[in-house]
Amino acid sequence: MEITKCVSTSGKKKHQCYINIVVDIVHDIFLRLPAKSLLRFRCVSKKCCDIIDSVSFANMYELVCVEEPQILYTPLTLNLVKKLHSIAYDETNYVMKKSETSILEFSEEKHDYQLCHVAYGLLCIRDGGCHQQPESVFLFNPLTREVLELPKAIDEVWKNTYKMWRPVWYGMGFDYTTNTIKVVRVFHRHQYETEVYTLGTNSWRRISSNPSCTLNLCGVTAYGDMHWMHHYYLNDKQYEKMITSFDFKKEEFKWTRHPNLEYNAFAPYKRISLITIKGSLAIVNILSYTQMEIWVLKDYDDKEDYYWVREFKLCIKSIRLEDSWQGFWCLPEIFGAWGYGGLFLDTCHHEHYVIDMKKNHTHHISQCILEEDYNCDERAVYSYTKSLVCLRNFGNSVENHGYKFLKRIKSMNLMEITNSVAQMQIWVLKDYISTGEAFASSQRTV
Amino acid sequence: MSKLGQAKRIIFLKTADGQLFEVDEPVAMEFEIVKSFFDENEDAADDTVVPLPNVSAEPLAGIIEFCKAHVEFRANGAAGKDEVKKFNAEYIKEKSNEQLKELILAANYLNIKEMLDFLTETIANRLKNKSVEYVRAFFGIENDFTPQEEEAVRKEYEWAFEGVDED
Repeated sequence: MEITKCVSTSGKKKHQCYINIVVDIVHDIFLRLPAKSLLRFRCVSKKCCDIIDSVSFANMYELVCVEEPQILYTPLTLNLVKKLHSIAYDETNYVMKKSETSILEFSEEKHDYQLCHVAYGLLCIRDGGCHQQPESVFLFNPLTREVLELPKAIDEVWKNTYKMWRPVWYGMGFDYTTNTIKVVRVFHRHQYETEVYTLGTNSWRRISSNPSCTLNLCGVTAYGDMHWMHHYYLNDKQYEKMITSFDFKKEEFKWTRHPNLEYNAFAPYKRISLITIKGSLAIVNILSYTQMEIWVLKDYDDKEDYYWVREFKLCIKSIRLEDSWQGFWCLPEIFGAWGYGGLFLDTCHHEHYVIDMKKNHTHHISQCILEEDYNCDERAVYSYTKSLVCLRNFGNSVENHGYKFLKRIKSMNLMEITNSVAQMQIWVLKDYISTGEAFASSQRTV
Repeated sequence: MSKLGQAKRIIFLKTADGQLFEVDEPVAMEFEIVKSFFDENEDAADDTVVPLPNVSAEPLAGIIEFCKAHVEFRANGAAGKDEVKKFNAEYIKEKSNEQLKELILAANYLNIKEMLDFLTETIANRLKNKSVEYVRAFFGIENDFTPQEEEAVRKEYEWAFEGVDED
């Protein structure tokens, strides 16, 4: 018996059908190509150019992680920084490679640039906002070297700001319902105020939702939303009030539940940090001088049933235990993570270690990976992958506006920059002690 | 009765060019389209011929070869091991671009996730250092830019056109 299907496709329709299938296949193949190839293949046809330039494609491209993550290790205020390099971590040979050419170079002797946030392969840089200088905010794509200056924020607190620095929180997210990248800006006048900017629009919008606690300065982007730690979070009794998230779809703040963490009496608020691991939100909980656990949030989109899993329990034996009697300020401090790697500091000896969560290796970094000795406490590790977000599609990129930090970049040979990845300066990490037990205990704490 | 019996069940597939294929059930069930056909027609007779109007004999033979090997790998617990990588490398080695394209179109139609992933990755590797013209020819995509437009798009990221392999 043969079952025949009634197919009445005219030749033209069939051809159109074939084209559509090809578009789907091309889309999936494109997702696996290096960013440089994709920028070239924008020329293939208008349709291909539209695919590669679309924000949803850029968002998917970030999630599949074709390119190796680039790491930025910087002070939060860039005023002492002249050049900003990216670092790549070679997890097979345990070396950190610094890009030979900087991704950003500041030509002014004095400047007030601050790195506010990194997400979707874009750096959010703020300038001014103190000394009664108006505040400017830029998004910078290190791959394409495009800079987009955002419209001026509604808030003009800077007019009365004389002191050097005033906290303003920036975050980036992705609204899946509209396929747009958004920026959130929180500032404090008499109370918290919040405004949102959608890429491609002309202005910021003040919104009614505001955070109900002091946010930690460095938030992280995961699942399209922003997540901050409660800066003064002190005890585990405020069970739901440790992580504040900003939902970019609803444009409102909310509390995100956290797991029942083992309590550590030493420096309770310094021991917990938020990081992202392969796009998931994770909590690093430093338990003691030698132990840390890492919890990963699952099913975030399920409002009721999201849960945390303790994916790693790591033993950090490389830190010189015998000297660690000095007290709570000696706990290791994690700066940030990329992929399954994380950088932390042994606060007793001011030495840096890289921890490989998957392999449970801890490696000492024999040379400081800070570019210069900035000697400042507020530092962060950001990671990004090469981004296809085409900033020139969202307004006038500032190439012609004469911003000094851009001028220098424009004058550099772009080929040099892309090739430099191949011949990067290499730091050797001492292959240190590498014991520790990781286990994926699927403890659900709902 | 034979559904419950011990005898190996054979699935009959008929290609667009009229060829009849006899495929072992576990291999045919790798094709999502065949699987859902039998899920929807539970009482379909054992000698039912499943028509595949969008696939011709040559790519189907290649797909059966691939899926058969992978079903065996899984049965032997070899999934993810070097043996599989070796087979995959050997499998695509002699395939022309035209054959690869036929295979991916067929695998897409038959909806075979594992093979589709593998072919997508393979083609991406073939294309990554190639020129714009090569990609157009590969997919048969028509260039709908005017020369001026194309030049303008090219200028936006000129550095991306350096270091491209010969076609």
